[in-house]
Amino acid sequence: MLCEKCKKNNASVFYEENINGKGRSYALCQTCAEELKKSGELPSENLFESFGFSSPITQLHDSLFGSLFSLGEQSMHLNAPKSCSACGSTLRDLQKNGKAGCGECYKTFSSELEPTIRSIHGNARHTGRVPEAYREKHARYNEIKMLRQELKDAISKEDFEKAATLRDKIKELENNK
Amino acid sequence: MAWYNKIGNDFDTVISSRVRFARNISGYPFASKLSGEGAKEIISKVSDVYLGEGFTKIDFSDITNTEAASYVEKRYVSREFAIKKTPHALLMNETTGSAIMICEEDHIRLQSILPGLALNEAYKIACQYDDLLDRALEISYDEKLGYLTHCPTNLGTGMRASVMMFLPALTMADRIGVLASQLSKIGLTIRGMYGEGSETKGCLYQISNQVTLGMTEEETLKKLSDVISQINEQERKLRSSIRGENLERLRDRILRSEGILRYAHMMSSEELAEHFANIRLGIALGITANISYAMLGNILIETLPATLTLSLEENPRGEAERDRARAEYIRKALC
Ligand SMILES: [Zn+2]
Ligand SMILES: [Zn+2]
Repeated sequence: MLCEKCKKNNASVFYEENINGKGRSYALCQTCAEELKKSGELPSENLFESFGFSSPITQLHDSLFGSLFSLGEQSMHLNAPKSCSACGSTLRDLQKNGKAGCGECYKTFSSELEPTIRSIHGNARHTGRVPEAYREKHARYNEIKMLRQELKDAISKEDFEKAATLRDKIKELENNK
Repeated sequence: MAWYNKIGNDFDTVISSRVRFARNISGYPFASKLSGEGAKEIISKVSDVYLGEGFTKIDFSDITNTEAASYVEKRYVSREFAIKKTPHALLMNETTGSAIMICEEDHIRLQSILPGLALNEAYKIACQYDDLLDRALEISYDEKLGYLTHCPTNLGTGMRASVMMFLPALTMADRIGVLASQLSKIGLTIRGMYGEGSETKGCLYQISNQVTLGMTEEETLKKLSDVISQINEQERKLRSSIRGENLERLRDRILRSEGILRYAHMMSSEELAEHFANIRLGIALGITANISYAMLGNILIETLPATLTLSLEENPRGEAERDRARAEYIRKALC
């Protein structure tokens, strides 16, 4: 594994990344690690040895994560600046922090954030645990998806009686919000 | 009893397993936009959910830096949490190995930590507490993005599962770098336990998932478990391949470490990390029969600077005094 900074030497120093709970590690060679220590970007002694927790490691994180939202930049120049109605964040705020201002930000800036989220997680939709309040909705979403498939099959088999029943069922589920 | 005083499955190679959920409450902005008042409201709402469940609340505005640092050393809170200036609190339940950080990067960071390889057990405990939260408060969630988190890297399940491994043979064989690049290709990461290069002397590494969106919690845990068992196999194979003169050298090194710990009067935590690794390997290989995993695990945590300082009647003045206190603690623990 090559050092992330010079990309020449083999990495021998691995930095933990539990700082913000973001699962990433940094691999550096001894020389680059020493250099970053001298410039104060990395702690010169074991962080656990100092109670001060000045945590210069955060700076390194910020510079590495600053690029998180860079993909949203182009669209920002095209659109009039908009802000989140719930927390007032603008896209620039999100870029600067590498983080969303509130839950609503993900809706407000959904198209701008989409490429970033895709680059982190791939083209994915959430699966797994669901809060109770959404569980019924989640189950309904899955059921409608299934019924739509059945409807398609019924139509292709020209089973119009079944298709009509399925259509009613879907309508009922959709109205039952 | 705390997680580090107990032993667990696959303890020759695995120190502990941890599962953490990131959650936020609807109607409040995330940490960077949250007012002090908002933070206090969240602390009180979340505390109400758990205080009847065997949790103790620790208000971090009321404790000293040393106390806060000790919670970091015991792995109950993050460094960021310990140094935060705005209101933040911890809910602790040592019996179930659970710690809930309120107002860390996310409003709620719920984690369960158990000794040895116990990912599924830790997950079950975390889910049980997550259900309590879900019933009591409205959690920020989106059907497509899952649990909404401050940082987009945690979207989806908001779950980070990690296993702390003890890998002396792979470290000696210089295989960690290769392992790291292999893991990153499958969405997992490995990092040295305390970050610093010198700390790899302890041969402790944390392996965790990176992707949180589009994969269920169970799938993530399965993937991590599969990888852990492969690493286990490699590590054990390497250990058992040490023979002849190499084994004699290793035996010498391990027993020298035991001798030093039993008799030294000054011990830095850096030096301890090295002896810790030697002796822990010694226990696994049946070389150091008089020291148990539990004794050693306890020494490692209890002699970390802040935790050690708290156990002393008087604050040590400077490092030398602390190193002396550390050596004394170890000598007593080993007799
Ligand atoms: Zn380098
Ligand atoms: Zn917002």
